[in-house]
Amino acid sequence: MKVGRRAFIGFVAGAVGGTLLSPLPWKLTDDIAIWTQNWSWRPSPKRGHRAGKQTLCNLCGGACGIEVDFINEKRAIYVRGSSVNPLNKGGLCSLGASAVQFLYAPYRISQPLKQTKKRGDISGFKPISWQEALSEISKRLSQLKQEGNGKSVACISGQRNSSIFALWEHFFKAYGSKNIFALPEETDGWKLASMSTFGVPEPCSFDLSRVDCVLNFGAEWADNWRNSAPMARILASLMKEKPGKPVVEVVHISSRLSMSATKAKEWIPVKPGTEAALALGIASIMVKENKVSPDVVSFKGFKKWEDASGKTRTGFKELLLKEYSPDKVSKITGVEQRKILELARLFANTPRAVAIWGSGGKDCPNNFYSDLAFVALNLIKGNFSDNGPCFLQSDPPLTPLPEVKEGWSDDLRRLDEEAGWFFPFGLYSNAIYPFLDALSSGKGYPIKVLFIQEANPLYVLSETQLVRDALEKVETIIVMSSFMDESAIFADIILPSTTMLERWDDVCNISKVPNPIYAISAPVMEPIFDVKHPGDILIQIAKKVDEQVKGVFPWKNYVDFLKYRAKGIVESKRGAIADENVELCSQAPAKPNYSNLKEFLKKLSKGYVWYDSPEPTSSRIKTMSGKPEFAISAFERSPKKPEKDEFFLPAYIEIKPAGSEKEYPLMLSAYSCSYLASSYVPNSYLMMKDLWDFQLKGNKGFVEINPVTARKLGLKESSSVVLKTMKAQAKVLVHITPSVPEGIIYVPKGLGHKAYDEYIKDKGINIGDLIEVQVDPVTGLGIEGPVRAQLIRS
Amino acid sequence: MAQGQTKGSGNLIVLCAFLVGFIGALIVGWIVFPKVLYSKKFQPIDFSHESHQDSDCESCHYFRDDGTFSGVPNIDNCIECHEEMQGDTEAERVLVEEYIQKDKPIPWLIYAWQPDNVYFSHAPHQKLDCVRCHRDVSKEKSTPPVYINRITGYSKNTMKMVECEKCHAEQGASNACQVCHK
Repeated sequence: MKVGRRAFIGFVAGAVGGTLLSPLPWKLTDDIAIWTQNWSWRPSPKRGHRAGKQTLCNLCGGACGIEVDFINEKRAIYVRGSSVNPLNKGGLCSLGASAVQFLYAPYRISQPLKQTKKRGDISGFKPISWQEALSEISKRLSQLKQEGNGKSVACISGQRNSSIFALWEHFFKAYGSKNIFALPEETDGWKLASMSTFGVPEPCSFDLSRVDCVLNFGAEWADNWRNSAPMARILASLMKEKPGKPVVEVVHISSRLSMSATKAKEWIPVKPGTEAALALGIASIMVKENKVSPDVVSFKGFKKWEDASGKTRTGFKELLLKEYSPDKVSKITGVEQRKILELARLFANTPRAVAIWGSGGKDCPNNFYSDLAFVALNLIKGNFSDNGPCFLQSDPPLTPLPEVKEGWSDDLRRLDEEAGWFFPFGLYSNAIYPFLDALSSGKGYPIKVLFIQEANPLYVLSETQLVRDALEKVETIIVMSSFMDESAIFADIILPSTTMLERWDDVCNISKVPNPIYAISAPVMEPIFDVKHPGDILIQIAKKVDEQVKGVFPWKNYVDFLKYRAKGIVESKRGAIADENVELCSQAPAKPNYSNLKEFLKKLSKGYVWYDSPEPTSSRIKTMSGKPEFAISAFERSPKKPEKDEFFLPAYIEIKPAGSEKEYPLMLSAYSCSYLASSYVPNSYLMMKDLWDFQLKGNKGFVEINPVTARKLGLKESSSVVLKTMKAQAKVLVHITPSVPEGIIYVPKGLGHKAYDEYIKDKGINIGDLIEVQVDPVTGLGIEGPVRAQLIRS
Repeated sequence: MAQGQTKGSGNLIVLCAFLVGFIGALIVGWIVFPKVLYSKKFQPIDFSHESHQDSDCESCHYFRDDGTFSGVPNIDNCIECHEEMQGDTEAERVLVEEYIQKDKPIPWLIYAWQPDNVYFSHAPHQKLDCVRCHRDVSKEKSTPPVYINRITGYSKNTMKMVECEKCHAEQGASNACQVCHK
């Protein structure tokens, strides 16, 4: 059959008609449109099988359970809070939620680097092999040790609550140096307050699950009162109304109307830095109205007492009644007498009332006497009794490290001691600022090698110029960091470290939680670069230094070391592995629910935590009298004794800032937000997007001032000004808000980096550049109190 | 007459050719095209929903504390009952030996993977029956294959926008772009 032209046209017409009546053209058009969404150059998450892996986040030193989603088991894409962990129960802070951004950040360091040009010149870094780097470092350390100059090696670590700090201490003990420091924390001061009051350097902690009233003296628990997610959860549970249960009375006492203050039932504004005076005023009224716990009468220093030399000194009771009457406290704090009486009676008459305190969100140590004042208020209330809500936080029973026989010699002294600094609590103190001061001024002995492990002191510590001056005096700076941060840029050798998702770590205790806690952060993926865990680096170096150091480092690697440590808990047969149903703060006894180390580690590596019941304070006390003491006994053994009796007791001691009031009529203080990171890890891209437009506009940072201050200075919203202190000056914009008191300038912490990438570098100002740190004469800790400042219109 | 016969047979040929083209195109469009368009993939484990009737749906498909939906469960759920073999099926053997004991996530294939530009949350849709959008699995003895569109890369069951819009209109929910596309 011959098919003609007409038949062909008929066929085509039929085919076209049939096609149009089929889904083919319509589906194809639609699919092609969808296909265009998937062009390779379009930014889009990698497609594939998505599944989560459980682990633990320790980015802030906490232990929050997390679940990390992966595509095809390779590419991490998302982090969420895991509900199996009793601390965060599904909650997560913005730092933890950014773990994937830190992992793939363009400012990560991918291989060991050595500076070949002038220190601080980023273009001078040249790659070297791990073997070269470690060999060079261990040769130098061997040489210094052989020369008997081990003390000239120092370390600043950014990981305090992990076993790696214990490993550093162990190394320094074996190597022969006492110059080991950590980034300052609020609880540095708490430990020393406990040392004075209870004879043990164990920080206070609180059972907040069974309280009826909380007087909160500047603990910014909705923002940055470590650790964010668990604290936010506890705060939310206190605020929640439940049938048959009265709402917990939460009173926030601070100078700035912070996020925590807005969530409290009542906010009591006080003059900056006077919270301790109010605490003593409340204690004074309780003493006057005879509402103190009966047993405090027998505590050393409550009544008139005799010091070691036989001299009779004023008691705390007398001091309170004489110096902290409502009228005097009202003048110091600016709080009305009527309100002070009201607060004192609320605290005294509520059966389970607790006083908590913080550093206004700055997470730096308080004045020693302030910490003592808050401890004293809780003592007077009887909160440290065996049924009370306050505890001393004891350590989990980890395996002790091997004994170092040829350790520190008797005449070995820390650099700050050698340079003439003396503190009654110096032995227990993290006196990093006196160390840096001695180093920068060239006093004592020179530091030849400084290790900086995941700390970034050139940004995190205040008085940036002092830190820079000190680092310039060091012969060799070795930085272990995942990121090209300010301190890494200043290094001579950079040893790149793994990030949280790529490594094993542990967490020993959680700040403010009374239970001993142990948790493990297990890797959920292989390292994406040629990087190592700082613990592995340290073990490798230790094995090469000499036979003596090698002898006390029996571990193959850091995982082996962690297993060694965790074995102690398993062998103690104490505590239990907690899941989401456990309320950690409770004092319910914990029964072991694990049988061997393998099972213990397997469970913990999935984001669960080990906990034990908190020990009653009475069993922890190690003072000479066997009871808590108001009197500061350390002064009795100190060669430098204070003159006045009040310096032997909890008191309000004002540390006056430097500078003239005439030249610098305003005061400058820092504040923290939950969405700003001010420690080793920088703000993530996610966090930068969370900032308000009154905190950062383009690259310009803001200062917050009261409308009255603004009016006096003739400033309007977003006015451009120069913020000047005795240390430095910076150009900023003004944000006018009644949430800050008159005469005070507030600046957020966590901005103004000089490193990383275009999204973080030069955004806002670093308040650390402007602040002057005052060294506490009792503890040697650096206090970041308000400093004098002025605003100049520009 | 002869000319007329020729013309008639010619028309018949044209009609036949038209029908051949028409029917052929329909066959290609309705039968061949879908087979070519989709690749057929099988789940790594032949899961039986019917065998799990003693559990609630929420035991495996649950809302997390933060409001997100767990979706398809993985070994963390399965291990609660299947840390050891309970029966003697091949599917359970694969689950226990290949995944649970090796601590390896199960690479489940997703039937309703949404495009990246769609922000869908299960939380506001909790009041709807699951079968409003998903297939009824209650009596399913084995998992059906997953058909993946070779052009788009999405599953055949991925819901189209019109379905979302229709339901939103019925429920009185907004159909504004930014509700689903951020």
